[in-house]
Amino acid sequence: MNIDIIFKIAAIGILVSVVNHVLTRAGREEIAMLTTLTGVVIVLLMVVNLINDLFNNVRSIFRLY
Amino acid sequence: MFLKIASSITIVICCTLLGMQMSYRYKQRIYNIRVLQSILAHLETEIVYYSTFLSQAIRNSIRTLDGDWKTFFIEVADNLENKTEYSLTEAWNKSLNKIQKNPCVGKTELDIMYRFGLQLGNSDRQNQKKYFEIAQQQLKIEEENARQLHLRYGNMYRSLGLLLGLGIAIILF
Repeated sequence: MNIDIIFKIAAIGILVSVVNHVLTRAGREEIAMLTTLTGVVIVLLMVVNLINDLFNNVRSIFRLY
Repeated sequence: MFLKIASSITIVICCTLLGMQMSYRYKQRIYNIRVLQSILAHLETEIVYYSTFLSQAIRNSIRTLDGDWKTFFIEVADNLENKTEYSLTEAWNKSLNKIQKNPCVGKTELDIMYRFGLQLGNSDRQNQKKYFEIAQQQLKIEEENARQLHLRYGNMYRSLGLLLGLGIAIILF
């Protein structure tokens, strides 16, 4: 289990929130919204494998085959 | 590891420079409009009070100024002197088409100058003076607009460039 991915996700979160703030201040709410969505999608793509592992583990622990 | 850090720094620097370039456009546009106003003021004096030939009047009015519009006026004067076009309007529009591609020149100024070029040299002095005044007024409004756009988007592009560079570097790291 790699701890790096947590820091990566945290950094992306901080960046997206700052970009969101900057864009909202400049009066471009729709692009700010788009940025937030992009951030969410990128983070989801990064964690989708981990979520898959989690479900597999849960299944194997409770013998839900 | 070293390669990773070096390429990340390169990405951040490139994106920051791109953002600064985008914000520089807004600044340069204000400057261009201001220069255009003083060129027109000079040109008005040359035409209304001195009655110089137009090509010479243009050359006199741009002598001390610079900016992106200077090349436009130099081209118009060249075309007039070399007689490469049939009329002033044609020479004017030909040069306008060239300056259209410049990112530091807005579409509204181009429109103003296009309409001004249609009227230039078509009537007597009093009328010409009127057209100069109209163009100056419109340019003044446009300068104010450009200033507001700069305040609004100039800072945004500068910080956005840096932040997007950081974002790409983090995602790729």
